[in-house]
Amino acid sequence: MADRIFITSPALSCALGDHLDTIQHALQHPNISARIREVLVEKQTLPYYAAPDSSLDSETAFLSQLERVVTQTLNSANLNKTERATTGVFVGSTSMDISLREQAFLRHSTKTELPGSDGSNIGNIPAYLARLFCLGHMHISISTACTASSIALIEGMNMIRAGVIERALIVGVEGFNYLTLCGFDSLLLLSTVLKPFDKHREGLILGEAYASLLLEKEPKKANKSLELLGGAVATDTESISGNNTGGEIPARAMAQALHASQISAAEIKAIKAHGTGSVANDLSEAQAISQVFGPTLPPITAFKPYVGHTLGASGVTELILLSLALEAGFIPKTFGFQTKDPALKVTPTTHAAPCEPGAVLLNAFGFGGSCCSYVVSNLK
Amino acid sequence: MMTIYIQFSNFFVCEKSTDLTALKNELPATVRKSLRKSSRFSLIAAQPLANNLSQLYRDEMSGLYFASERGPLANTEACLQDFKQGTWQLMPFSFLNVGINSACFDIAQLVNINGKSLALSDADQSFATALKIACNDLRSKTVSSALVGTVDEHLDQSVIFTAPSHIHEHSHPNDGAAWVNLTLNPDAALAKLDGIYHFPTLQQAETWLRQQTYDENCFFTLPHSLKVESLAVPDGLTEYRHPAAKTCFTTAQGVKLAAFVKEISNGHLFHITKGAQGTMTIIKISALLSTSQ
Repeated sequence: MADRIFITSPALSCALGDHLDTIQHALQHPNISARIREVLVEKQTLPYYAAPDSSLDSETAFLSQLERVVTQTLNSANLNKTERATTGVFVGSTSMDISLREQAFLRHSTKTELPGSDGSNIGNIPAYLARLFCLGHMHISISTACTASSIALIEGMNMIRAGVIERALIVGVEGFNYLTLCGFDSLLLLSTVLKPFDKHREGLILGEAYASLLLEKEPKKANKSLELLGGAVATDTESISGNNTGGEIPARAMAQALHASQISAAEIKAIKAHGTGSVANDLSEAQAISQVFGPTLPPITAFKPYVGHTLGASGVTELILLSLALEAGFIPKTFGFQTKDPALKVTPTTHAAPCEPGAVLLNAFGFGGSCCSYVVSNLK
Repeated sequence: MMTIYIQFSNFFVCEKSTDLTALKNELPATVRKSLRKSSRFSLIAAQPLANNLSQLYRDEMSGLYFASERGPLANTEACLQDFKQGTWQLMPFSFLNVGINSACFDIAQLVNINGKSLALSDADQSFATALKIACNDLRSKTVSSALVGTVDEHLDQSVIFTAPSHIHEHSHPNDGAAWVNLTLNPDAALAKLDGIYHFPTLQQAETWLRQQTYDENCFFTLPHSLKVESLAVPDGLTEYRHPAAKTCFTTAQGVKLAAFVKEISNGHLFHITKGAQGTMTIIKISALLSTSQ
């Protein structure tokens, strides 16, 4: 029998705010227009969901936001020195520390490194956090694009269950950088409004997020609101920038996640969709959902219209948003959705719906064909 | 505990000056076509596999574990240099190729893996960590076989990225890649993975090493970040050196391990890696038969 793994001590800074109470309130009373900034790139402006203290404005914001959310998580968990030493660090991100390097290079023509780093490498952030907070011997950066922090969550769970670590700090981080914004622009994936699963969806808007939580077998605090049951990863080799619109491989990831969680599709009370708002990816995800769940679907919600597509950080960010909504007793409406697409067998939530205790499936899909699904149980 | 076997092992190294065309020309024509938009980093990663696809054990539940310490830094540097010069319009593949997940995708497509795939980094321990995760997934039956690889390229004279302190001015490491194919099947295996051991400190790793018994065929490898004189090596343990292991970063370790498995017919390897904050991991491998791929 596998160890039970609980999700505890969340901390988040994103376009909805940097305090959980504020974010929960914003989910209940959404007001999209206030949170999107306009970023000038050459002669065009591109919309962007920025965090309150954004790396868009300040060179120090990236590190201060990262450190702030991790501090909140560790303080909330009240871990002693020995417990910290047996905590692994798993960071999921698309751009890692490019935000810092890009600013140093473009503004000052200089190099920069995270304090204490010996050279530039993509594993800098977890090692930096481990040094700063005296954390344990496993420090992994996951670089699977938009599934990165979702896979970090699954690997953290696997390593706890394998007995390698006692608990896992899971961090999703995505600071503003021009490289990513211009890259997505080059792929013609950006839009001015995010409408997951809508007939008139045109693409996505990027966002910034710093998200952190702990996975624990035996949380000290009585708060055990969510349990991570299991997850799975599959690879769609159809195209580097999108899944096959037939949805076969995403469906496989969902089915395997249910199997790993020892739960049936009928027991799923809600789905947190990846829901990027791009034409092909929403089609692929909708096809996959209908393959796994058949004609009777649970409520399906998508969070990207609230916080933007926070890429590698989206897994942990959207899990925390989900946990806040479940804690308040509702499944949020899918903001931005207006018109049903007859090509999709999926209609997301059009209003906030009450939630029952039970299991929720979460999806994340990314460039490089990465498909990740996992199941959490809402214990309240 | 289920025993894990290494069925395939190969590595590739090249000079920094080896260009994209030369790397493409090393590939079979069919592979060259599918990797036509790939970066130099991806092409290096593909080299040890492209001519050996029939030797790889894989099915629909196979997993891919792709490690790199530094990733394709040259691709990132090129994009940021364009910005600096006022060119903000990126070409799609210039952007897509800045991540290691792009190279991971190229390999998944090359070897046709639709199961789990994972691109990761853990500094000097990246390859060891990828092996560790793959072994865990094999034992938990998450995957039926695992292809574990590592690739790194050195970036000279970067204005954005800093080389690690062990790369000195007069040191010109090669670029390279190494791959091993793990299964639970002992048939025709090249080597057996005896265990992966973790130690909070170097001293505890040394104590463990002293407690092992050695014959004349016992070897060890060290990462660049650990000098041989800083480790109390027990009698009977010899450093395994390989001319190809001039490769940079974590991939040097991967190359040594892959070379040992490929070329040594009788012996044991203690593959020693050092993580952040001085933690240590030792992977013990036993060669099983005399073969050359």
